[in-house]
Amino acid sequence: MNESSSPLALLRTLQLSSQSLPVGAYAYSQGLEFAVEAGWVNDERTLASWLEDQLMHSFGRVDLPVFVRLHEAMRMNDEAAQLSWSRRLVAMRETSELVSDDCGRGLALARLLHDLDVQGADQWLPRPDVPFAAMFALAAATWKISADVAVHAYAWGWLENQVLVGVKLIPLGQLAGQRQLLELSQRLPEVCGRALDCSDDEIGGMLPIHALASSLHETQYSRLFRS
Amino acid sequence: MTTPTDAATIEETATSLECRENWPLRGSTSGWRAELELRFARRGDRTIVVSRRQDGPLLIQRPFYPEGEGVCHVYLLHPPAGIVGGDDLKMTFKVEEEAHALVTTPGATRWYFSRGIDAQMQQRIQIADGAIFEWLPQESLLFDGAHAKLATRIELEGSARFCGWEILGLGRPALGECFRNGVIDFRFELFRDGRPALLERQRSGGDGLPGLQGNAACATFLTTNADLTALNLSREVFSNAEDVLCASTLIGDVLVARGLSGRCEPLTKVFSKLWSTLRPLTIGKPAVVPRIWRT
Repeated sequence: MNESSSPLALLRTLQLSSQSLPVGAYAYSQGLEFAVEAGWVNDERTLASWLEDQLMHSFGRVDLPVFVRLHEAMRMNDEAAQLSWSRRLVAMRETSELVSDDCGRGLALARLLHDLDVQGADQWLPRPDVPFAAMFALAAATWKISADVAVHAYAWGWLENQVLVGVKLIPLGQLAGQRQLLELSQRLPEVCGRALDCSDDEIGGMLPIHALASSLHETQYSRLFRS
Repeated sequence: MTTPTDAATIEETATSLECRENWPLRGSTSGWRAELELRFARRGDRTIVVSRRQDGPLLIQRPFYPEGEGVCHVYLLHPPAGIVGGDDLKMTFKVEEEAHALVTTPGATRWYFSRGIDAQMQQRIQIADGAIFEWLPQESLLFDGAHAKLATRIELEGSARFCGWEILGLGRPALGECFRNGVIDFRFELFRDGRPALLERQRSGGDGLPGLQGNAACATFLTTNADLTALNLSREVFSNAEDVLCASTLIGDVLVARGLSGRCEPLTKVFSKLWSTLRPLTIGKPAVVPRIWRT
């Protein structure tokens, strides 16, 4: 039995990717709140296409491959690589809100891991720009969750959070939310597989409409979410 | 042909579009390679081109000074007037301490249909402490079927300042041509003291560029040295703009504005307006619109 198929690694994965992880993920919509306000996302179909575009062209080409590299850097204790991939990830955030979203959750997770006595978490506390992926990777590496399993869990966490935002704002029923998770998660093995295999030069991607939604959210008149 | 020259020589060798005659004809399989490296430096109150290394069809016209000696304006020319598969163009601009240069192009850069071979253009801008570079090229037009790799990389040292944009037009909307079959890999990257400050990359999927919401033109504008006042001014400019969807955000001192439109012209117009509105604040000088934009 390899390390990531141990029952304990599975339980750690569930804990780390749970919505109950106290990092405030529920506060961030990542531009989706504006997309709903503008009417670009207004039902199941448009939500699926909004999220699938991000999965294929931005989140899947930015967060996931960088996460895989951060996981490796954490596992190998390679501080230079940890820092350099963290900086690159933050520099690929398109807007001020997306930077604070990522680093807000990153710092919250760094604090939590520190309080849980995860070794190495303390050195990230004084840094203002800790991406969430770096701390997720630190926890996964510490708890012996393999890169393959961890990257799926990281992707699942993002997807579940975005679908919940959609359910709340559009609004959609609980059944529709579960259907979306079932359908969209079918894409995760392909996207995560690409993240595990791709070269460094293939990293990067952006959707102008997503960046615009996030920029416009900064001045949205009435809003529930911080991004 | 590699010709390191001093500024005086360059000013005597103003070039024109006729120069295409001087280069060998393009082969059917391999494209044109061209390189241009320009170095700007401050001499007294004047910014001059202190060296130029040129190899192949990339040229500059005689530098000129429409706003006094301090700011050196340069028009960049690519005499073949279009890029095809296999072309490989490299430009490097080095701006030494306290120098101030503004580079623009007299027309759009056209990327034509390619039979599967990539064409690439790499633009590298190195700005030293205390120096300023403004990069205001006209749009890149990507014809359906083009294989375009366009990278603009800006490297700032210390208090160096940059303001510039990249505008992409896809297909030829006026002719009803959409961009569907080609490949686009577009990078716009800003580094400060060796660290990445903004890394933007747009890549085509199976059906043109994703995330354009049905539009055929997109653009990104960057300026350093910006603050909340600049951010608010940019929002005012956008609130009066027509036929565009634009928004801005402030990441550290970098103002990033992006826009979408059905065509390039409304984006060029609103970004020119944005540049002239912000210039007094971020560059400390009123905007002097390059004459060539009016022709």
